[in-house]
Amino acid sequence: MSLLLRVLRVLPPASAAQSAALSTSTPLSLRKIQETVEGKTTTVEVVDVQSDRKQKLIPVRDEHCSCPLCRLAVKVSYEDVLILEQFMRKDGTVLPKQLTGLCFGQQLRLERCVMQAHWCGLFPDRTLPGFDRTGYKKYARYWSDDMDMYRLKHNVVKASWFYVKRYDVGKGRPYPKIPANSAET
Amino acid sequence: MGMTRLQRVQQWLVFARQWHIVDAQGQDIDRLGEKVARFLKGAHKPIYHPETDCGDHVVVYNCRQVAMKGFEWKHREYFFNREYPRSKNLLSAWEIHEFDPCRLMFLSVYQSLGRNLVRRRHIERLHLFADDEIPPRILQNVSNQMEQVQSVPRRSDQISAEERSRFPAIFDWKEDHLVDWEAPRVPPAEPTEKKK
Ligand SMILES: [Zn+2]
Repeated sequence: MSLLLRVLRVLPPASAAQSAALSTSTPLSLRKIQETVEGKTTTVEVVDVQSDRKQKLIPVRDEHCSCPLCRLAVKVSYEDVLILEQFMRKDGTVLPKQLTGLCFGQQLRLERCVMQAHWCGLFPDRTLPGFDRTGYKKYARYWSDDMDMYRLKHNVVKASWFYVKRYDVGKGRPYPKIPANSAET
Repeated sequence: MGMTRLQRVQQWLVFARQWHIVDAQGQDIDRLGEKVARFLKGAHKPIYHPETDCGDHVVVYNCRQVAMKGFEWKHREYFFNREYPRSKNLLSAWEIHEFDPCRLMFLSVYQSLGRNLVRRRHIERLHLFADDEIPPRILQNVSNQMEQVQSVPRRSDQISAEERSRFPAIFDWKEDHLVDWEAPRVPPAEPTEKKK
């Protein structure tokens, strides 16, 4: 077997421990697995990368809970697509709270909001391929609260047969279609 | 105190038969129906009286994209009964909407007009379109665009990369975070049957 694996141990940056003691913000040393092929030698190593979130991070306030959503001054809902997608993977699933640093309640709340956004079709580029959109699920919906999906109510509305059908609604419907008339206009 | 030019035009508009247009995309069907019914009756005008014929025309388009809250499309059912033999019918909302995307909007407006004798005259001034294709002979009359009853959330593919880069980051990764942990997880494979 010509493939030779060599894993290099990468020393932590010297300033990391120092800045952790001094600053309140998190010192960052993100890592990444990198494969480089040189001839018959494949080197798999862990390299340091710079976080792209560092420049635009919201500063931490001293609160009773310092998790990212508790210190935010807004109540996150399913419409906040730009907030939700920071906590999501590329395939639309939610990252665990060990990675995001959320507290228990906020993590559950975030998962509910992400699920509502998926049901509304707000993440068409991040949906799992087998996501069911047949039947009643293909029509538009909205939510007024993140607990709305647990408030189920079956209601029967008394309806009337009376109907004024003026315009054609689509193929195969037995109603007259208005001709495209440019002469009348 | 004479009338200004604007007030004179407003006076004409109150007594004229105006045409309003509203986009039903992502709007709650009940609240939009109430608002449309108000304009059909003419209840938005200062001269309104139930026996005054001061109602306006309303054009509602994109009726197919009208919204309901939560799982209402499945859990709301419409009961039709003409009190003749075999005339009862119980249909869920999405089944009616699938057959005729304008029917539920009509029902919502019709019920919001109240139980009275003039509502069949008022509802004749309602023009429903399933999509955004409106005949020009309807569109030429329209003079006012009604405000929608609720805001429609934007999808993630409608947000530009420039706006996304300006949006602040909510949190940063922890120390010694491995970027590969953010990669999509591969679901476990389906158990395959063993060959005999
Ligand atoms: Zn918290």
